Amino acid sequence: MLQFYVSVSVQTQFVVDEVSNVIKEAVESTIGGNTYQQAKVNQWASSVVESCLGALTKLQKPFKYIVTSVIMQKTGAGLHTASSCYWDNSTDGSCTVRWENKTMYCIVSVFGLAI
Amino acid sequence: MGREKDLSTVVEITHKDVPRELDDFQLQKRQRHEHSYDMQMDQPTVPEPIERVAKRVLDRLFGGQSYDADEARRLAVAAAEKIKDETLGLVSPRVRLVVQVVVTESRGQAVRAISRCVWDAEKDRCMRAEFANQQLRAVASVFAIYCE
Repeated sequence: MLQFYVSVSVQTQFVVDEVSNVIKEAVESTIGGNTYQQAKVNQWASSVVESCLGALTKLQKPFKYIVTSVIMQKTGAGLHTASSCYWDNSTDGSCTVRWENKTMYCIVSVFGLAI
Repeated sequence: MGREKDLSTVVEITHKDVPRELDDFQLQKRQRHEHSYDMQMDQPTVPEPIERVAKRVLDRLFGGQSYDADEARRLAVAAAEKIKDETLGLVSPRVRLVVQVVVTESRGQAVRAISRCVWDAEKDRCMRAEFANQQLRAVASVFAIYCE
């Protein structure tokens, strides 16, 4: 029977540092320095996700990405996110970044699954 | 270039999953699976049963609850695990799952949650279920990614 060993290189592994930098950049450039505005939230959430995805695809790695972002106004209310995944432990990964300023929270999660 | 840095901004990585080296057990599991050369999708992912399952789990876990920080954290994790376990029975073995549950306290503030993906449009699916009562709101998203 054929025995083949899969060697996993950095190119096919989810690299958390790279991805977290991408997220931070995307959030900062979209909503950095802004205060919460009801009318703009839709557009902000969409552009955070779009710019994350754009930058992630530019990394040109053989990955499928799922990006979720939650933007919440700071009113003292609580927020929890939990995730459970069934995937390949050696190649797939996730990264969740919380960004906050005086008026709002933005939580972005990126899940990367190797093709 | 104008914008001065807003010093009250906080950025933090709250969670990360780092790929791990395969251990012996997983290496063995991998060796057992030879490529099947099957280009067709063996079993398409049907969204409706999964959405029903997610809704049922959310109703059961969050129904009648009021918001409490520790309890909400525990329930969110439990909900994600439960939905993942029940969904695994409903999808093909080639599918990888990501389940995300977001729980917020309803205090009259607005929350906006958005997700977008880069994937194969025909084979990968996204399913969503929601639960809301006076004190809290829960949204569960299930992403089923087909991998050969």
